[in-house]
Parts: sequence; structure tokens; C-alpha cells
Amino acid sequence: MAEDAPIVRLNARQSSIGTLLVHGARSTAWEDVDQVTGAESVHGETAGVACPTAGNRKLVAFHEGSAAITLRHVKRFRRAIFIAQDVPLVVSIFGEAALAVSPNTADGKSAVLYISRIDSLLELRAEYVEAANDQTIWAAFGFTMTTPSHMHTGRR
Amino acid sequence: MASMIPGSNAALTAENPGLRKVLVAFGWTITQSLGPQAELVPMAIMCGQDGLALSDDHLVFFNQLTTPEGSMEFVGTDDQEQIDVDLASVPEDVRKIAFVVYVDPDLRGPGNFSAVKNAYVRVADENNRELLRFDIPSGNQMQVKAMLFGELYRHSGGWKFRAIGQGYQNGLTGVATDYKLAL
Repeated sequence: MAEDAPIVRLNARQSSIGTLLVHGARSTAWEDVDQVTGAESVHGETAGVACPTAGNRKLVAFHEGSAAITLRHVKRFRRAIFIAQDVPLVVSIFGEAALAVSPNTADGKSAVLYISRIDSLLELRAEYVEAANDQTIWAAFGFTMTTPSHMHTGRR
Repeated sequence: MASMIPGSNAALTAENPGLRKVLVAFGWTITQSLGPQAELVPMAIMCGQDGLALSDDHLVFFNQLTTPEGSMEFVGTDDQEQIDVDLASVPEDVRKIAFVVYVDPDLRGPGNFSAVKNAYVRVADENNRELLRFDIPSGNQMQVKAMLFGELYRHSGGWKFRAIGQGYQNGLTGVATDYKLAL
């Protein structure tokens, strides 16, 4: 994937089996169908709210240095972005299919992989943005972090 | 209601005249743990005379809800995973329908049946009257990553159901190879 070939759409099987891994991301931000949003960096910093799933895995999270989407629960997934480091973003799915996103353009823009669900299908789109911190990029893609609620703590 | 053992078959339409539609339902319990848990996914595959899938579109599971002609439909809910088959509308070139349950191959594991208990498949009529039930025999299933629970197949102008319970150590990859599916 690159600036001149920015979109790939997975089929229904590819969109829902196993784990979609994104290698080479410095951070990810996500939004589920309830519009719960959160973010995590490759170093473990977090913002917003995580989306747990029935299998005790987060819907989107880092795992051993790569960002992962739990495809068994793709119906809960709405969209996510993956901000590139200075290396290609490499996406892998079940069946060993893989694709790569160029990390930057000739004019110095940086890659952001935008993944959204359209009915049963995941669409992957390579976007290129001016270099900026994560918060600026979240805002550019319309992500506003959900404020963690403490209602469940039982505190009065 | 008939209880089945591995390898046995039941003459569904011969024993139930007028049977047009069946509900194939799956159930199991998972031994709970704090870490990642096995997540089972039922899938049904329409096969031709050669035993292979008619196409990648002739399967249903939670993210591919119907076959192209609409005779098979996934209607699972949070409480029950169910596949409806309109026997009278199944294309003539479909010789059997395989019912597979796989452990989702999430990289964070566990990807096997070791924590799965009390798995079964049951076949009911469209009023949910149970016609037969196959309880998967318990045993060490640490190596099993997918399982062919059973299959509906054509016989003498009608439909029969065979209980199988055959495990796949190579999981969904093995299922895809056996039925020539591109997953």
C-alpha cells in the first residue's frame, strides 16, 4: 500500500479469523461500536478506555511489540489508526497474507494506517499526514479519548 | 430425540416426513481462566460431489451469515450458536453440509479444545423440537484445534445426519485444506 494505491478491502473470512497484526506502529487509537475510544503506544502508555472482549483479550492492543485487533470480535470494532514509526507498517492476518505500508512519502509525510469496518468487511487505508505528536493525529482522524469512569469502584 | 455416537447416522427426512427445515445448534462450556480463553466458532460448509466446498461463499459463520442462494443461514446469538438449513432449497449440486467448530486462531492463544467441556451439536425442526443430539466424547483434546462435529448428507432422495467428532490438530488450516477453502 502506498500513496498511489492506498486502499485494500479484506473479505469476510480475512476480516474475522484470528488476529490482525500491525508491525512497526508506534501507537494505535481505536473506537468500538459503542464509541468507546482509547489509545496505546508500543511502550505501554495508554489513554482513554480499553475494550475488553469475552475471550479476555482487548479488542485492540499491543502484543509483543505489534498492534493487534481481535478479529473474533470484529463486530464490536468500528475503526482504528496505527501511526507508523520510521519503518514500513506490515499487516498480517490468518493464512499468512501480509501487506506493507510505506512509512513516509517523498515530501516527508508520515504513514497512518486507518482500518474501519464496513458491514462484515475491514477496509485498510494508507493515509499520509504531516509529522506530529499522537494527540494531534488522533484529533485529525476525529478520535476523542473516552474518559475512564470510576462508577464501578463503588466509591461514594 | 435420538442420542448419537461417533460414526452413527440418522435418517432425518425418512424418520420425519415433511421435514423441510432444520436448526443445527451447537453448545459447550469453557473452563474459565483469568488469561486468554479459547473461543469456539461454528461454521457450516456446503460441499459438492467431490467433497470440497462449492466455493468460498458456500459457508456460513458469524461473519458470513448466508450462502449465495440463501438456503443456509447463521443465526447465532450470545447464548446459542445456530445454523438454519432449508433442506428443500439447498442447491441440487450440494451433496453434504459439514459442520465444523474451530478455536479462533488468535495468536495470544490458547488455540485448542483443552478447556472445552460438554460440547454438543443438536438438530431440531423449525419448531425447535429436538430430533437428534450428539454429545462430543470427552477426552484429552489438548492437540485439537478444530473439530468436524457432523454432517448432513443426501441419501436416497432425502437427508441423513452423521455424527463424527473428528479433531483437527492443524486447526482451521487443516479444515481449509480438506474443503479447499481460501480463508
